[in-house]
Amino acid sequence: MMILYDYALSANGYPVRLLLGMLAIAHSTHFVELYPGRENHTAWFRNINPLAEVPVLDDDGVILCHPQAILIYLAARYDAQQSWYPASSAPLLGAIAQWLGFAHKLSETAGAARLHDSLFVATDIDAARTGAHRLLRVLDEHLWFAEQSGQNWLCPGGHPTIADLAAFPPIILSEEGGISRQEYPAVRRWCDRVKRLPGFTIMPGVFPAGPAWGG
Amino acid sequence: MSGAPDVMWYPVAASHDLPFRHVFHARLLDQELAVWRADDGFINIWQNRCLHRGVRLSIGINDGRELKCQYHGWRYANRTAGCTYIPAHPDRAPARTITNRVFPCVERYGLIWSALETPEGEPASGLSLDENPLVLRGIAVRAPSGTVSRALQDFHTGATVFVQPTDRAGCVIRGLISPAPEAAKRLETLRHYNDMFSALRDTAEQAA
Repeated sequence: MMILYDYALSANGYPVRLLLGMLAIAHSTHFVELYPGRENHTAWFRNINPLAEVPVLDDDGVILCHPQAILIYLAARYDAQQSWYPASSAPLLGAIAQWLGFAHKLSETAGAARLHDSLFVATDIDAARTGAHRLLRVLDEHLWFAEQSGQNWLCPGGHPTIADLAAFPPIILSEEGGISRQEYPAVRRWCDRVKRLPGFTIMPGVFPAGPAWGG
Repeated sequence: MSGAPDVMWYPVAASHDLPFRHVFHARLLDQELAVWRADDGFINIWQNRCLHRGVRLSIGINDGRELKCQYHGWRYANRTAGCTYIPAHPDRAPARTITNRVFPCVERYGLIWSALETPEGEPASGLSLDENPLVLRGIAVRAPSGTVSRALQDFHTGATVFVQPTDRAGCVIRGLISPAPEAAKRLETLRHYNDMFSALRDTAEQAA
């Protein structure tokens, strides 16, 4: 039985929830109350993850404690098409790792600003926002030129990868940390494309996109 | 360009910023705008604010005929900007006075042009531009439009450049190459001007 330890407001849990939904993987969720209960700091949870963070995945004894590790594991094991994490393409794996790193930087800046404003987590808020805008500027340029080359996603190819899912939460929730996306039109269009992927689910603070087909 | 800023055409987006069923988030002279193309091709430029609770319409849903607010589902019609439906009053037609503020719009040269008050004449009048130039990537700058315009005058770029004032502290550099270069040089040209205007942006922001 697969168990996801998660928290409804967790931006780190969100990419895992997205991939579980998109791959339609059966699982149960055990909610851990990060705020205000600090349940992640209790002995029983620290026994599962000494870092006291969600998400944690327990897939019949395979225990993983980092969102990107969980994404890699789920895609490699359960994606029959091998399109979310194509293990046979070395250049693509390199690109995915690079953009996973970028997504982590987004979590440490835009994500930290959101936690500061919404859950009162101490951080250098000005540095977090400045850092997020610097990253979003780089990302907007990357995605604009990708579009001009007929590409829709962070990494080349016709299908999104786990890097798109990892980067999406800190971006789509950025306004909760006081970070506007108005100056990043290519990022906004990419957000629409992610929202229109089959199996996409929302979380608090995330609005759905309308359908991009007639009717 | 000269004249009062409120009655001048400025580019606020590129045509490629309005893909199918998208809502573009723009700003002109401190006015936030929701810009969306309906399925019939008409481009709506509206005040970026739902008349109900003030939520930004740029996060709303463009269903091709109406824009729906995400908060309580008020719907506004393509072209008229009139409210067509209020979910809390499903049996009553909304009053005709419930109409969003609209701004003038012209799509030309691959750009979407707007103004706070309708100007006389055409956008980019006095310039002889090809109708289908190459539209460069818009570069947002955190420096006032006047500063950036002056810096651009010192550049002999080969591009036709417009500066869209977003607010007192910011602007967007929007450039065209007219006529468009041959297809084989397209990406190279876009890169070249992106790098040039980005460098200008960095210099202007350090000085600002």
